[in-house]
Amino acid sequence: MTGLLRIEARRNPAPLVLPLLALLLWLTPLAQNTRPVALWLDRSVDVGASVELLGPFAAAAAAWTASRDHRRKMTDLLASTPRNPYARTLAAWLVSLGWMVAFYVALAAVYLSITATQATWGGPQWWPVIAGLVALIMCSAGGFALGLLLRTRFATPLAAVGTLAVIMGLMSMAVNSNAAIGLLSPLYPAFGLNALVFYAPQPDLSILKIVCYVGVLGLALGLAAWHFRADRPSVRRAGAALLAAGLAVTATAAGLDATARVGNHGVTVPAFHNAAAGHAVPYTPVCSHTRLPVCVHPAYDGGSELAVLSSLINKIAGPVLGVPGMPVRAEQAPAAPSGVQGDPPVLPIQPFIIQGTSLPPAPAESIDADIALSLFVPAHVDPEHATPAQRGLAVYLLRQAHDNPSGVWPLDQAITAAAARFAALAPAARTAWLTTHLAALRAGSLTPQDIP
Amino acid sequence: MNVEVRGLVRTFRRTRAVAGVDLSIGPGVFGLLGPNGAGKTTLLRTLATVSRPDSGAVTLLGRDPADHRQRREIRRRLGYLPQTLSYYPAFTVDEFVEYFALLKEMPREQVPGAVARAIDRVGLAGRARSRLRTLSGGMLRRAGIAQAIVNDPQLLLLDEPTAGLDPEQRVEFRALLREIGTRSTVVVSTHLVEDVGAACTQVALMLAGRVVFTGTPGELVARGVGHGAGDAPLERGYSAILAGARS
Repeated sequence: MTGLLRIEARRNPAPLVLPLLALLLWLTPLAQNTRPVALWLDRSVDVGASVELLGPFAAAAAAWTASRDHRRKMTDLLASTPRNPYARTLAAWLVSLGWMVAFYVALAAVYLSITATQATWGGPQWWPVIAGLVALIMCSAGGFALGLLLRTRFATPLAAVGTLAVIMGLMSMAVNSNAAIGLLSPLYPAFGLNALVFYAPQPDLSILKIVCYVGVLGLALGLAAWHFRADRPSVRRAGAALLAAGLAVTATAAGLDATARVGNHGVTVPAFHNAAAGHAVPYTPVCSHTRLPVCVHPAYDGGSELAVLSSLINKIAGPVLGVPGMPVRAEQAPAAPSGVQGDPPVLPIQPFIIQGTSLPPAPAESIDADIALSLFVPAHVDPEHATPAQRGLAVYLLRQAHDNPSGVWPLDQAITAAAARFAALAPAARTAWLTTHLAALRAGSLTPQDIP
Repeated sequence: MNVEVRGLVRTFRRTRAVAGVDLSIGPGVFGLLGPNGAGKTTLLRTLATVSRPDSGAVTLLGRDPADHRQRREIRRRLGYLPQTLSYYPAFTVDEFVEYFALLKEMPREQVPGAVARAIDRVGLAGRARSRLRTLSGGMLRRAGIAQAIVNDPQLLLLDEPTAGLDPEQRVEFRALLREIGTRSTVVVSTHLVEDVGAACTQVALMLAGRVVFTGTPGELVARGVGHGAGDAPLERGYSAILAGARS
């Protein structure tokens, strides 16, 4: 076997596509996401999600390898040799797979090494990386089986397109239809990205994915062995055993998938759940020394996250700071955005990653609007449920910060008029009115017409 | 006898490619002659254990190819060159021959020597490191022969082995066949009767899936005396037998 592997390794076409693959990866968000802030879990999930690109390539390379003997009309010549045909074909596939795995490992090593130089909190999370690796092997095995069964050059594009369609299709089912089966897509993040650093990672979904992928891998290899069943009983038996085992494992994974629950901290699968996972991890926040101190998790202390965030919040909230009931601090929290809470009052900020020195325009508008609304909605209420009066004052804050809220939510005349009236007031009058009416405003008992 | 075939039948849908062939072949070079579609390639594929007969009994090297264990033993001792040589274009000559040496389950330590010897015997030693895609048709044929003989087969099956070889190479190849035939059974399917005359000790002539003549090249020549068309005595014998079988 080693002799065959040596020859196959020398002549396998997979290395020819690796430079193209590297180039494509360079153009994907994976490569763009190498600037701080570097969150280990986020980066580990990114490595696993690279299967979106690598998987179709691995499947195509394997299908090309598997269909080689038929394409080259080598079947007669090869059939006259005593070597187990399954082992022979498997050797060619293993080499093809080996190149893709080596590429994945190199990618993970480079990506996580970059992360190691940037991250300010935690360490690498291996479950998503391992799940990505097993997904890659599964994609390759699927392409291998398809190449053997179809035995034409068309198997190659079919394997690539089919693999991409399955990966994207499952992801779409998870996002658009909340279908449990969609959780098994290699792209579905195994962890709640909103809670990347606040809770101990919950590897339940990663483990479930690995089990499922191993099952599909068994099915694919069993199908491939079954293709050679006529040659010798041992191959037939191996094929049947692999098919049965693959089917059993895949069915088990499907059964466990039905028990999965998507929560704030990630996906919980009772069979794999560890009580230690998902608990809050203590940390000491890092705060800015601005008028309204802004505090972030130390994992977000790299790059310009804190500076950009505190400048943004102070710019929006500046005119209302000092009003009783207005926040004395803004702090990252893993929960959804909500109103000012606690005593002393704190403005919770949903975590998001700022790369470079500013936010991209679209999310920036949404984040700005959330911050402005959060100052006026009650505690634990989603800013999306703000009343027209609360929106009116939020529009005032956004406009004075030179933001345009019209792209985020529709503005009616009453809201914009209230914002304009309030902006026309003297600062002292604004502060006085807010001091008197903030409680009523947050309670939702004021209309835009009540705003002076 | 290294090859024993009794009542061999192989049908492809409605076409009976081999229609009840009986053959006994011992050591030496055995020529298989016949027009296109006579069933020579199907018979060779069956002897190469690539195609299974619909009916009839086949014994190769004293073993039954229908049994998978015995089939494996046969294949270890078999060399086969199909009519259309297929190859992996990216492989070099020595990789190609080594690949088949490994597939024939030769002992690992014997492989390098056997590969070099086989390549040398077909006169490709100077091109051992060349990619197959860079070789001419004749060279490819010789590379194919090298893979067939790399394991010093006891049963060597060659389908049109001299197609594409130039006259000088054919002379050398016939000498190689005669040399291998001193130890092994070589079955050569060919259209070229001069190959049969120069290299074969026994010859069979097939027509429409049946063997219509078996004997020595001398006997084939004798059948053509005073009969048939052809420029050479063997061709006249060949034509005379075919004409007789068709009438």
